[in-house]
Amino acid sequence: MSGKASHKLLIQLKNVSKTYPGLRAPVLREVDLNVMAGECLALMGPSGSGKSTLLNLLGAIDTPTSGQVLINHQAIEEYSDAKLSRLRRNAIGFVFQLFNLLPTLTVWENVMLPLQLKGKTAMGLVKRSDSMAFEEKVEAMLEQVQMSSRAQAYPSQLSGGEMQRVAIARALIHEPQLVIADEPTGNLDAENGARVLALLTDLVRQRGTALVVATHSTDCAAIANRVFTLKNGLLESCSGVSTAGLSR
Amino acid sequence: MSDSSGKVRLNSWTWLFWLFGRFFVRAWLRQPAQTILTFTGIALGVAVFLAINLANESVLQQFRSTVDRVAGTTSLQVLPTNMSDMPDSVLDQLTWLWDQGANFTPVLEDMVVWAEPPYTGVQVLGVDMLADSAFRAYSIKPRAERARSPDPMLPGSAGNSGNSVSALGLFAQGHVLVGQTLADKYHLAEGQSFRVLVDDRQVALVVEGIIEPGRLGKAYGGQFILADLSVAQAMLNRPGRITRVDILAAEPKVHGLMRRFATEQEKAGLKYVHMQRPERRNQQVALMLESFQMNLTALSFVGLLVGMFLIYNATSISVIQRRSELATLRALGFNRWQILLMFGVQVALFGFLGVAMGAVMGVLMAKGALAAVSMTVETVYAGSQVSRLSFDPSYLFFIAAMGWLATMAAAAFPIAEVLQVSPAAGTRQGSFEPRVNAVLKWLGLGGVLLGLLAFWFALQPLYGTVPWFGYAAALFSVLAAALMIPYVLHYVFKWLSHHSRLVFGVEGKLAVALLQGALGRTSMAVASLMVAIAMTISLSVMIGSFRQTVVDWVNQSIQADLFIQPATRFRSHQSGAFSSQVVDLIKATDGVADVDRFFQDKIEYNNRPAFLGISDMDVFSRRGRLTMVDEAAFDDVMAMLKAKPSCLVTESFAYKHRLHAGDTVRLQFAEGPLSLPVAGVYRDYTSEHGFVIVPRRWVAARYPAMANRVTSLAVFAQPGLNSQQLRDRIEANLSGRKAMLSIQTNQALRQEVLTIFDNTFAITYALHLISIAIALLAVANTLVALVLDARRQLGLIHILGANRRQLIKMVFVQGGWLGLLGCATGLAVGFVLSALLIFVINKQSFGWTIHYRIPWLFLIETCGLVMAASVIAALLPARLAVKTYAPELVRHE
Ligand SMILES: Nc1ncnc2c1ncn2[C@@H]1O[C@H](COP(=O)(O)OP(=O)(O)O)[C@@H](O)[C@H]1O
Ligand SMILES: [Mg+2]
Repeated sequence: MSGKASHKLLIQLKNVSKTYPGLRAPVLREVDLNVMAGECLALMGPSGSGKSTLLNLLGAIDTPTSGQVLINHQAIEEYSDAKLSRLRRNAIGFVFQLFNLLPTLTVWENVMLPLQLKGKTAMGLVKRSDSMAFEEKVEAMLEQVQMSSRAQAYPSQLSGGEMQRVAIARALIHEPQLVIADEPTGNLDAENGARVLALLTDLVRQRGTALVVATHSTDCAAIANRVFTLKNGLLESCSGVSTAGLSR
Repeated sequence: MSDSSGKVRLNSWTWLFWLFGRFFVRAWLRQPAQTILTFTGIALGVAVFLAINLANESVLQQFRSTVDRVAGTTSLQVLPTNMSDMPDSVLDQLTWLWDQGANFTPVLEDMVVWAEPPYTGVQVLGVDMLADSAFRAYSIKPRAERARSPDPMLPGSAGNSGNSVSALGLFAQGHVLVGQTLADKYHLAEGQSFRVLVDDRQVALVVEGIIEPGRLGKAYGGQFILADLSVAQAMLNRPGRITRVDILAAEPKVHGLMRRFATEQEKAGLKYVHMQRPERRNQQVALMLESFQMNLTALSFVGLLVGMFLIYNATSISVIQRRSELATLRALGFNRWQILLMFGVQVALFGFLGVAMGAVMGVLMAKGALAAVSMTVETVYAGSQVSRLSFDPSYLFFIAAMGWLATMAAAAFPIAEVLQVSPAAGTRQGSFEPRVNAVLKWLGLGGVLLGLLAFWFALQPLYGTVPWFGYAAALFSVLAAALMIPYVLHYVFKWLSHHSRLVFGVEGKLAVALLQGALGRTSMAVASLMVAIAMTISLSVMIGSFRQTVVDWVNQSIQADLFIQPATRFRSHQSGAFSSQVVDLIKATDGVADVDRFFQDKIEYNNRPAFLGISDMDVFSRRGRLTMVDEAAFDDVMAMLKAKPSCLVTESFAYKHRLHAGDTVRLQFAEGPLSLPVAGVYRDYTSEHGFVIVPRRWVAARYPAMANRVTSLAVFAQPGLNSQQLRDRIEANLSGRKAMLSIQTNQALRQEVLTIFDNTFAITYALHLISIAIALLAVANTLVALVLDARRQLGLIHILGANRRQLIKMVFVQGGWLGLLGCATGLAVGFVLSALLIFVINKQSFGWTIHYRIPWLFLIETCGLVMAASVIAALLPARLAVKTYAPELVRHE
């Protein structure tokens, strides 16, 4: 479907299993998955099937019980917290179902945050020249998600759909290679959900950013390059392309 | 949350408590550091509050019990208005009492000093041994070798017919009974002789018997001598003098007697005595110590306040942490009252444990506090030692209960918040945060109004004896500042968030945003730091200014080379006088240029304690120097004192009795009245109760008998002789009497004044260190609350790419801001409070003018310390901030 996908390997899960302490059965069993640059993956499955767990591994928020997570061909289990944090702030953007925004910062400040975290000097300060460029970027980004008019509002003053648009802006502002979206429309009504989803997929396509989205909605699955289902800890490919096919 | 039947058994109390255990006790155990922090804070706060109150109460209690034991069954007393003594001819004027069915007996009370080191003061009680048994009960220790009668009562009672104590022996000169404690202390046995110092003489006494502890035996802590009146008069060299008359009458008759006394007094012209209930002595002691104790009590409330803050904080943390659990319980069918009950029980238990721990610590601390308090009480006020911690257990219970109620009250607000948790609350984001933002302006406005009120209070004059308006002004200005804090912080944070360059970059900016987001909690922490720092600063400004004022005054007013007192007075701080031979001996010593003879006595003036001083004046007017209050020239005042009958009063005396130069002072001596106009008012910091100084010649002119009373001497050396040399010469001249006198050089006396000063404020210093410690616990506690509050946000920031170091930095920056803001507001309020202390509260309590000074170095040190400590206080919460497992924080159950 997508000829644009450059077939550059971004993240690779090799034989990954995940068991939470206190749970007997593993949530993920020897999962293999490759995420290529610029592609759009959809992850389906009932609640509790392990979608979020898988996304957390892809996003370097969590580590597997066994198996390997390779990001840009590097195994991350050896990474320090500082290095993992740097990786996240440079290469990954997140959109969650809830609790996306810091309630004490305005829309503008929320979107600005990843840039500030990324672009600071050794002293922890943002260079003045950068800071001008940042402001322009944030403005442009807010324009794209149609939130410019609400830039000075606080999250508590926004509707659910607006919050998710801001979250999308924030996930993309620092030009990550991968955006991870965990049921981004799960909390929205159908109409708003569709709008948000369209916005998200449009924006990642424009930028050539890879997207992994966990979802219940079939709309979402329809626009993905590949669709997977999680069942009993096993990852099954639903579309014609096989899970392993691309990596071989 | 449900049992096997699938339904929650809501009615079962045991079930509720089981839930309580799972819900709260586990949570406490899971976060031991935080729990310990809160406990320690509450306990420390309550302990400070308790310690001070118990020490104060012990002092009063000891006085009260002694007064009661000495008074025995006495229902009325006749006392001299000058508070010292009166001729025993008074008894002749009281014979009408017999017709009324009342009985009376004379008493002579005084203090002597043990003749050997450590020269402690010993109380002497002279009573009529034949008649006194009806008034005071005591028992004599049976002699070991012939302990026949089990409880031999003293004279008059049949049990002791000459067995342990020969009745005649008690009337022999120098034969006395001694209290058990005194006997134990100096290993005294019956028949043994010992020596005491009386005035400037040594007197030998013989132990006739030892009084068992119990009833009178416990008066003065058992350290006293009981003798027949005639024996006591002889040993004290006060022939024909008594200090009071005790009257025994049936209770219904008391009022009639008091009325009759008034008419009899009129007839007989007995102006210098009055009749009162013995209990009034207690009130007098309480009145004497009132200002001193009041100041300490006010301080002790700071401890309680901070304890309250901590429980507020702990409770609200607990509410935040359980918000969604609570919502679930509500959804399951718990009603809000059951939830309230669970929290109520938690807080009550928590507070109870904290208060119990505080009570134990408080009693221990009270021992230390008592040592400090009693030293001051002894040297500055009452002249008798209070060494044991003694208080009614119910008083401890009362104070502890007050502490407990205070903590409960503090928890009421966050607990009330529980009521508003709706079953749906668990699904919404948001934290428990008192809706400060909405009421910001109203709080600020309230603060301004309270501030104005405080200002108005500060301008009020003194009504009564306690400067209530001054205390109210202090309290209201602290409250005003506390109310304005959220408003101020809101704008400070707003400004800071636009200047991230100033605030340590992104982390700093986020730190400020989180502080701003929890404005209520932040305000509470800043406010409690503010209170602690303001207290510390205002006290140190006050004490520093006061001390400097005293130093200046001491340097100016202590001019003589030597100061000589009978050792008895030096040790007992109240009794002891010179005989004229000794005075003459000193005067005649080679090298002595001038001697100013001074007499000092306690008096009562307008029903308040005060001091009378009689001075030679002519030496003083040549040699001395006083700072007059109203610009009047010292020499003019001295000339007036010389020219016509008049007196001097101290500033504190003038202030308390609203006197000015030209007004008349009416004194009552046992010998008769004396009214004198005030020639001038001078500054003096010797006693808060104040002095009236009368030139000796005006007293002598009216009452020649009083002409030669001397209690201390100020001696001036001839030129070329230093005080040490002069001292050696006088001591050589005194030879055998040397030990009976205390001779202090100018320098030693100056030093002693400052030592007394520092002792008086030792407890204050200790207290403000403790209050800072508690405040820092409050900062640590607040940061923990902030971190818990912001856990999800911290998690999100972590996921967005901030590493652990950055999270830690954020928490440290928060600690730093809390410290800095606490210091800034604390300084501001501290200056206001110090001005109130110096110009209103102290002025009104003591009548002293203190010159305002700012101890800059100390202020800088304190702020530095607080800043450093509040950053250190961030250690625990910072660890907490990074401990949380990141994926947990973005889960959305
Ligand atoms: N931190 C955790 N500790 C223990 N169990 C967890 C944790 N996170 C998720 N689980 C469990 O793992 C399973 C998968 O959860 P999750 O990945 O959130 O599923 P999904 O996102 O598909 O609903 C669930 O059964 C959940 O209870
Ligand atoms: Mg999920």
